[in-house]
Amino acid sequence: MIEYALMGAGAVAAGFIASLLGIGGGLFIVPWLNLVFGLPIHQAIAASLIAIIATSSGASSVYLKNEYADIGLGLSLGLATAIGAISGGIVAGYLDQEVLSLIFSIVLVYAAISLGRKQSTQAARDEHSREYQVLRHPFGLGASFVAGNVSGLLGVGGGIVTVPVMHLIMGVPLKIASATSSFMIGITGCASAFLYYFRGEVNFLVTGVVVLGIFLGSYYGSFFLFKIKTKVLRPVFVIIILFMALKMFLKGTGLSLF
Amino acid sequence: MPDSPQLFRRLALLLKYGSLASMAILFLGLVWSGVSPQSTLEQQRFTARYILDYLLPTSAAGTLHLGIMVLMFLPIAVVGASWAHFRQNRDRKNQRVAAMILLVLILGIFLGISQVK
Repeated sequence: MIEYALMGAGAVAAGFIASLLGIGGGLFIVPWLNLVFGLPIHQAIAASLIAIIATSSGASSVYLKNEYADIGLGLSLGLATAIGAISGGIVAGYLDQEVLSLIFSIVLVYAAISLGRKQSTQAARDEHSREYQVLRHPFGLGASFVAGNVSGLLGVGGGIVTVPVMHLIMGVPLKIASATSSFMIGITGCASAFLYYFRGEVNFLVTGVVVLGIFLGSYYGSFFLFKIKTKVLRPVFVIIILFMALKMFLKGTGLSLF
Repeated sequence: MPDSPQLFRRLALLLKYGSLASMAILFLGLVWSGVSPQSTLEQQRFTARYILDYLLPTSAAGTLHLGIMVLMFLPIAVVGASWAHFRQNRDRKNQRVAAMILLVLILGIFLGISQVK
């Protein structure tokens, strides 16, 4: 029982950190369940995907209430992410733990670099604007397919790809890009979650604990969003993500440093 | 942004109450599994063969399963509600996109069923 309490505590922390950084919790949840508790990576990914639906639903309800998300854009890109997620979810079923760990470590490195650079790009754009024209839609569809693919394969939200693409390439203001991405990742998670579910990779108890934990964490994280200086915390989380990337890489290759 | 305030409000309410309902059911399932651990821990892994066994929340595992199902079907309900709204407002382009997503999500379910081990 103590094991599940610790899993839940980790999920609360993951949800809290994720909402501060504006990302999904999957980047933290999958390594947490796999590296710390030894849960098979396919089960960890399944729990993460369902947790992502929960965080997406909670956050999107607030964004939609305030009319921040672009539903039309979210649906058109969501179609691409859903197709990508299904193909990623199918491929994941054929890959073994080591390969998935290796791919996950690469995505973690990308996420760390992306998070490290996020501050400068945020400042460069008018993030509150609601007047905009969507540019380079076909590129956005291609990038969304890739994001969905990574999501279905590894159990992460894909926002780490879609938000920069929408904001920097498609010309969508940052706040609307974040809200639209949040709306999309629920659809993306749902598309591949059913594959894991029917393969028998959804562990009820672990998923229940993780979903509730991450939901609570992200809820409380949103209250601290304007009180905690994420500029200070960001480098710490980047180091944590790089450490997790190293651990996943070592697990994937079977090497050991310690 | 061409989306109507009515659509924003509908989807926001659906997501809010859908996720809250799911959380409440999951919380109940976790409390139940804490009170009678054997009912959940023995059969915590799910395979499609047990769908009928777990369809009703008559055990901790069944309750957790129901909470997870509510959550997993929530995005489908959101896309369905969007489709209905676009249809009502004769927004053919977005109606087609929503219909295609619904088809892809349903295809995902059937692909999942085909992967049952």
